[in-house]
Parts: sequence; C-alpha cells; structure tokens
Amino acid sequence: MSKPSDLVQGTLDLLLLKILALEPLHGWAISLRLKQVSGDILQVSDGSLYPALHKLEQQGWIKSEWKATENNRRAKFYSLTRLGRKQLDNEAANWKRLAGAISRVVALEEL
Amino acid sequence: MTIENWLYSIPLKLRSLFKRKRVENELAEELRFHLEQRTEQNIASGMDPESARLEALRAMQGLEQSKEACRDTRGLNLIDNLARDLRYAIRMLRRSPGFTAVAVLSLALGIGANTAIFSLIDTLLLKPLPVPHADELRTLALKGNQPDRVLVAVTYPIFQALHKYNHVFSGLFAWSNYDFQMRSGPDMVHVAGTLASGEYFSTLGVKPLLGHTFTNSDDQSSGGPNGPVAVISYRFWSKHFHRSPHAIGSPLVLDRTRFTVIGIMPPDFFGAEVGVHPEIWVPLAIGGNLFDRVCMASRSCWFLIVMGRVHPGLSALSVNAGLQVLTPPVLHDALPTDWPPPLQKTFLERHIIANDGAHGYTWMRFLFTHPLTVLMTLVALVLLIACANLANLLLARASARNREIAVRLSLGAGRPRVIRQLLTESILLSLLGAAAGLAFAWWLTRILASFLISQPGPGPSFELDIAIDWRVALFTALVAGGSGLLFGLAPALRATHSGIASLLKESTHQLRRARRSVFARFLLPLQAALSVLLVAAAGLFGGSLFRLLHLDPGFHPQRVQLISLDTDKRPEKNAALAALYTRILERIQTLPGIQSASLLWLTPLSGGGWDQPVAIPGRSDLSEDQRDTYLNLIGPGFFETMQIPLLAGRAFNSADTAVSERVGIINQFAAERFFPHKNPIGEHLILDKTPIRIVGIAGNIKYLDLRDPDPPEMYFPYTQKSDGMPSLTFVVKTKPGARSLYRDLRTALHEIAPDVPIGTPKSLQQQLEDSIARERLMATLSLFFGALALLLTSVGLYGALAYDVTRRTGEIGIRMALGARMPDVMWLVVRESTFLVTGGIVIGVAAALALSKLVASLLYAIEPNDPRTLLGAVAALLAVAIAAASIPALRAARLDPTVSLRSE
Repeated sequence: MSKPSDLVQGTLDLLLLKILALEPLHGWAISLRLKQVSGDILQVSDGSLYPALHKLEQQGWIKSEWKATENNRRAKFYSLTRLGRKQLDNEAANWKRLAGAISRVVALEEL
Repeated sequence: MTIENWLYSIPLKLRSLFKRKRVENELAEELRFHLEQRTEQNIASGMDPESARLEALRAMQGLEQSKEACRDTRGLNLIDNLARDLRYAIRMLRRSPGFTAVAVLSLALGIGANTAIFSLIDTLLLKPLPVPHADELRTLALKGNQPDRVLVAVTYPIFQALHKYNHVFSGLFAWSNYDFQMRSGPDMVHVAGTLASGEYFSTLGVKPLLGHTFTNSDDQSSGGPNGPVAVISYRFWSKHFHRSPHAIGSPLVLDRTRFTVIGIMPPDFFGAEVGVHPEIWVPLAIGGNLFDRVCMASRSCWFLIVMGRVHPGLSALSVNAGLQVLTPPVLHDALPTDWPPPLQKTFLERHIIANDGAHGYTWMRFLFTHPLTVLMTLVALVLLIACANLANLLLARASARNREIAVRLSLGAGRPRVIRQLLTESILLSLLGAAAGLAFAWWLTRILASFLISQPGPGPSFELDIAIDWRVALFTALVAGGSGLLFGLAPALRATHSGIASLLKESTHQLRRARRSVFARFLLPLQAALSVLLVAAAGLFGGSLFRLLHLDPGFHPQRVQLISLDTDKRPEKNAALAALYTRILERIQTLPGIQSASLLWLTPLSGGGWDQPVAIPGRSDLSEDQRDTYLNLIGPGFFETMQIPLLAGRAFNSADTAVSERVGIINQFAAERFFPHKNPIGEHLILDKTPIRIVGIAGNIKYLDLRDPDPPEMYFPYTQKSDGMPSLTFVVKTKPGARSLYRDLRTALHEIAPDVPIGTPKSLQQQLEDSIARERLMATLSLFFGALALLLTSVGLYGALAYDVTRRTGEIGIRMALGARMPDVMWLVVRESTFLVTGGIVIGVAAALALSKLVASLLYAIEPNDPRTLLGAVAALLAVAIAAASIPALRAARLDPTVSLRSE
C-alpha cells in the first residue's frame, strides 16, 4: 500500500514504537498523537497507519489487546513488548547516528 | 528476527489461519472505529455528515485496500491465495466437465504409464536391499579379457579360495537357489530355498525375528554342533507353524534329511536376490553336500553368486587394488585342471571385479534393463504428447477466457497473481491425472510384472513385489507437477501477455486474421513428430513379434501339456528309474481323453539345453563348433505327440533297451551337415567315445530359443541312458475338448510313485509364448502407446481446428458471402495445420531413422530403419490427422453465411 511520502522509510516504525513506549494507545489515538507531537510536519495517512501497526505486531515488537476507551467504546490498544523496547532503543540509536551524520553533511554544505 | 519474535508471531499467524472469521471481524471493527472517530472529528470541524464520512474514507485510501494491506502483513497470503485459487480452479473444472475429463484421462494414461514403467525400473534397478547399509555391498564377478565375458556365477572352489584369501571385505558370502522337496499332506511339493554360506546373514546384517541365524560354524559339510540347521521365512512360519514360537527347535524334513529350525526371518527379508523369495535357508556346505555333491566338488559347476561387504568409506580404488592382489591365488587354487590348456589359460587371465551390490542381484537385470529403458523413453514421449495436447486445449480456453482475465487484470490483480491462478488450474488437473494414473499404474505394473516373470530363466519362480514406495511416489509427483507446469505455463504466460485494452477489445469478435501463436504452431508439429516416432516403434516391435509368432517352431503346441516330475530323490536310479518312467507313461496312455503321450528330458524353449560336439567318422573337416549338437532324451510316441515329422527311418520303440545297440535320431539339419552326400540311416555318430547308430531323421525344431536358427539336433531313447538318469517331463496331447487331466494324472502318480513332486502343468503353447515374453512385452506396450499417441494427437488437432472454426465463424461467413466455395473454406480451415503436421512428420521420420538403431538388439528379423514400417507410421498418422481435421472442416464448409454473419 502507499507509503507516507514525506517520511524517511523506516522512520514510521520508529515513531510508532516511540509513541507506544509512552503508553498503550489505540489506532485513532496514535494518529492524533503523531500529528500532535510532530506538529503537523509528519503526516501519516490513515491508510498506511494500520498496515504499519499490523506489521509491527506480526514481528512481535508490539502486542494488542481489546479494551474500553474513556468513552466506553471497545478499541484495539497496542503496547510495546519487551522486544519492542529493545528494538526501539536500537532504532533510536540508529536514528541519532543517521540524523547526526546528515546534519553534519548539511552543515558542511552551508560553509 | 529472533526466536522470541516467533513466540509472538506464530500464535498470531495460527490465529489468523484457524480463527479467520474472528480476526477479520476484529480488523473490520478496528478500522470502523477509526472511521467513526475521523467522521466525528470532521463533523466537529463543520462538515455535513455525508461529506464527513466520505472524507474519512478517502483518508483511509480505500477501506478494502487498507484491509488487504493489513492482511498482507500476516505473511499468509501464499496459503490463503492457494486455497482461494484451488477453490476457483475446482469450480472452473467442474464447469467444463468435457474438457476436464479429456485432460484428466489423457494425463492419467500418460502419468500412469510413466509410473508403471518407473516402478519396474525401481524394483529391478533402484530399490536398495532392505538391509542396513546396503550401499556397502558388492557383487563379485569374473571378468574376462573380452568385454562381454563377465561371469557372475562362480564355482564352490572359487568361493572357498575367495574366503581363504579375502582381505578386502569385512564379510563375504555365496548362495545358490535350491528347490527343496517337502511333504505337504499327501503330496511331495517343492519349496523355494537357498543354500547360503556361513556369513550370509551376518554380512547382510539382518537379525532374525525369532531364534538365531546360522554362522560359519554351522556351515560344515558334516553339519555344525547342532547338526543340519535351517532358517525359515516369515511366510513359511505362518503357513506351516501358524506363527508358533515352538517352531524354533522343531524338526523339518527336507529332501529326506532332518533339519532343525533355528530361526525365523522378518517378513520383508528375502535375501540378496531380487524377485526370489526363499522359504528356507540351509548352510551351503551341508546342503550342497547332501543335495548337489557333484556340483560342490566340481571346478566347473558355476552355481554360486558371491557378495561381499566392504568396510565403510573404503574407496572403489582400494577395493579394486585389493581384488587385484586377491585374483591370482584364488584363480590358481580353483583352476579347473581337467580343462584343455587353452581354456585354462583364459581362466587364469580373468579378473575378480566388484560390482554394485546395493540393489541385490537379479539375472533379470541383464535381460530387461535395455527394454525398460526403451519403454521409459516411449512413455515419456507419450506424456509429452499429452502435455502438448493440454497446452493446446488450454491455449484455446485461455483465449476464450480473455475477457475474464482482462477484468481480473484491470481490477488490480498483478500478472504473476493471474499466472499463478491459471497454473493452479493446470497443476490441479495434472494432480487429478496423477491420482487416476496411480490406479492405472497399479493395474499396468501387474501386467508388466507378469510378462517379466514369465520369461524363462535360471532359478526358481519369480515374484516381483512392486510397491508404490517413496521413490515411485516422488517420481509420480515430480512428473505430475512437471507436466502441469509444462502444459500450463506457456498458455498462462500468453493469456496474460497482451495489455488489458487489447484483451477487452478482442472479445468483441472483430474481424482479424486468426493466427495462432508461435507456441501453438510449435505444438502441432511436435505432437506429429512424436506420434510418428511412437507409431514407428510400435511397428518395429509389433513386426518383430508378428514374425516370431508366425515362425514355425517345428512342432505343434496345440493341446499339448507339459508335466514335469522330480525323481531325483527316488531310490531307483538309471535303468530302474527308466523302468519307473515307462510304467507311469503306460499308465498315462490308458487315461481317457488322451490322444497321445510321451516323455522327454529337456522341453523345447524352456531355457535349458544339453549340447556337445559329436564326432562323425570321415568328417574331420568340420570344426568343433560345427559339430556341436543339441541332444535330448525322448520316449516312444514323442514325434506323434509333438507332431514333428519323421522324415526317414523309424522312431524309438520298446526294443531299444539298456542292453540293445545304442541308437539315435538326428534332425534334418544334422543330416544335411554331417552326411551331405549319403543316407545317414545306418551310419554312426560318436558321442563320448560311444558309437551311436542313426535309425531315423526328424524335422528341425526350435530347441533353445525361437530366435536362433535351427541347430543340429539328436535324440536318444531315455531307456538307453546308462548313468545319471535325470528327471523327465511328460508331454501329453489331449483329444479336442478333453477336460484337464491333471487330477487323473495326479491320482495315477500317487499310486505308482507317491512321493514324487509333480510340477504345475504348463501348456506347450504357454511355454512358447513365455519364451518370447520380452518381445511380447515390447510389442504390446509399444502398440498401446502408439495408439495412444495417435488418439491424443487427433484429439489435439480436432480441438484446435474446432476452436478455430468457432472463432472464425464470422470471417468464414463473409468469405462465403463473397463467393468462397466449399473446398476454399475447407482449405482455409486446414491449411495451416496441413503444413504443421507435414513438417512434424518430416521431423518424426528423421528422428525415427536416427534413433531406431538404439533398439536394434531388441528386434527380430526386421531392420531398425525398415522403410515399410516408417511408411506405415506416416500413413497411420496422416489417416488419423485427416479424419480429425475433416470434422471441423466440413462443419465450416456447411456454415450458413447468413447465420454465421448474424453470430457476430
């Protein structure tokens, strides 16, 4: 399915893991949180959110559970597994390295 | 991913496989919840409910697509899609039962024939002996300087010497088949047995089911510590001891000698000889000494097969090096010193070699490896034709399904996905064909095996246990899968090849030249060429058999029965035994329903023979080979019973006795060769220094082999056999319509000689047919496959043309409306096929000419490139092709232009 065009490939997984590391959330809440924390810069379409979540679940990074929302509606809540937390650490470290390298390169060009 | 990942993912996968409904519901609910939330948000931001809902759906980029993307993450699409494809394929096949039936039937015949031939090859050549580490076994043989002179049988002195000097094999054993005589109720019967040397069981590495097996200490000429011992088969144990454990230690009287049963072998054990199922094993030294003393002591009685087990990991090179060291002392010890010096020299020049022994030993391999290889090739060709046929039919169907495929492609199915779906259909077809083919193979292997075991050969009766083992199952699965791919892939590729637009457009029956694809144009000549090849093979093998069947054997086998006796264990010998035979013969001649009866030693075409050079006084110009004469013992009335003409002189009568002058009757060929210028009657021939007066000349008969030219033959009266009187066979010609005489004969024999085993009666006709079992096998099967090839090709041609006519109905209508006449229309339909079939015939004839040399050794009195056979094959294919093409061509010619134009 369509990939979020303005997201570096693979970063969606990192974002989702990071968001879920804070607290278990359902899909809708995740999409709201994504928009909220990234300040509308990182757009993740509704269409690509769920396949990404399902993929993470199949890989064992996150697990799901049906629970009631604050409005007493049944929803599927995702939370991080032990493996997911390790994965998040790895990915985050990778990201920092990558981001640092890229900003250094960008800084170079400005000289 | 780590194992821990799988701990999460496997339960999820299983859940989505087996709780599909629940998982789907959850997916739908999850996305619905999201859509509702989004819709509410949109309404809150001021949209009207309807556009709020649509906006939410748009944001989802299609609800179904999202769901599908989520399903994709489960990694179960392969299984899911396969199940769906299978369901769809079954539905499609059920919708066109005619096509399905033709496809499954032709595949069943093709795959079944392949499986059947393969399972025979498997049984004879591939299946390892059911013993541990069969790959370490070797069969020993003596190789001469000429490449074709390999002796697989050895003498007892050779085996003894091998055993003495052996440093190559961890175990070494020899065996010989032997029919024991045993009492069973009122009858003396034969029981298949094996005389086996002491290391037979330990080297094969097989443990008994009960008791123990014999060893070197039992293999002594006077018997071991326990006296004569015997090991029995599971079948024998069940039949004679009702599986009682008390069988161990029981006495067993074989050939009037008391043995003690010491062990029972497991059900699947048959020894080292494929096709032979011994019931009893007895140590070679004691068995040989008791039953075959002369042969055991002889240095020229070649009756033992030797096998050894090499140490694991020992290379062929070191085995051969070891055998090279072994050869001189062994041959020196076992040298037949009574042979003439030149033969002794040849003997000493032989080498001991080790052949593969993993698959056991069977003489049938020498006889049937080549025919089976040829048959395997033929059936592969038949299957190829069947595949080409199906490819053709599927191509036609694929074009008919263009619109369906176009719709699938335009709805977003990828090309690989559509191809996979079409392939599922063709592989399902071939699997159905394979399933039906297995049933056909089961039936065919039994027929094939009966051909194989009816071939007369050395040794006891044969049983081929042909089972569908894993090799056969794997072979069938590979053949089925392979053919499914073969006939399915090209049509599937082609069906999805053109763009969606052209596919959709094509279905509007626009007028365009209906050209078949390159692939389809390649299939028809291929089928034609293969058909020519198969029909030519059928012609060659059928022609060989026809010539053999119309060969005059020199005797008339009609209503002639052969009944053998085994009198080797009778107390009477020589003259007394001859007198016993005379008494039995006289008794048989009084039985009702008998036209005439006689007896003889070696029945014609049984595979057994007795030949020796005779001396002819005054003819020192003839070489030993030219004087080699086939000899036989016969009784009075032999020539009438066999209807062999007595050309001159007299037959034997009761005046020819042990004390009267030695007399003989020679055949016409011997008379012409030995006495070209004088009347042989009254002349003498010398055999073993004994002069024999010729009293008669008889017609030539086929003695050893129907395929051989008539040899010089000479008969003696059995009453004059002075020493070593063998067991004889009665030959009985019944009156027309007489019932079987076996019961009367048995009763008569019980009175005169109650403990003589009687062989199963066999008709001389049967013996004649058995002697050409190989030719009958080749002819029957190749005729069947040739006919099948023609049938498949004609079905293919008919199908392709009929489809063409349907597709070109409009075009034909316009042509007719513009003035085309019937012949023009017919030519239009068959034009392309005519060229294609003709091309195929040319290729087929060329291939037949090139390949037929490979079967030359299997033919009789027919040249491998016999022009009449080839012409016949071409004519047969042409006739079938014309017949198949004429139906659609005539249908096209009879089209009503007004109707066909309306069909647009």
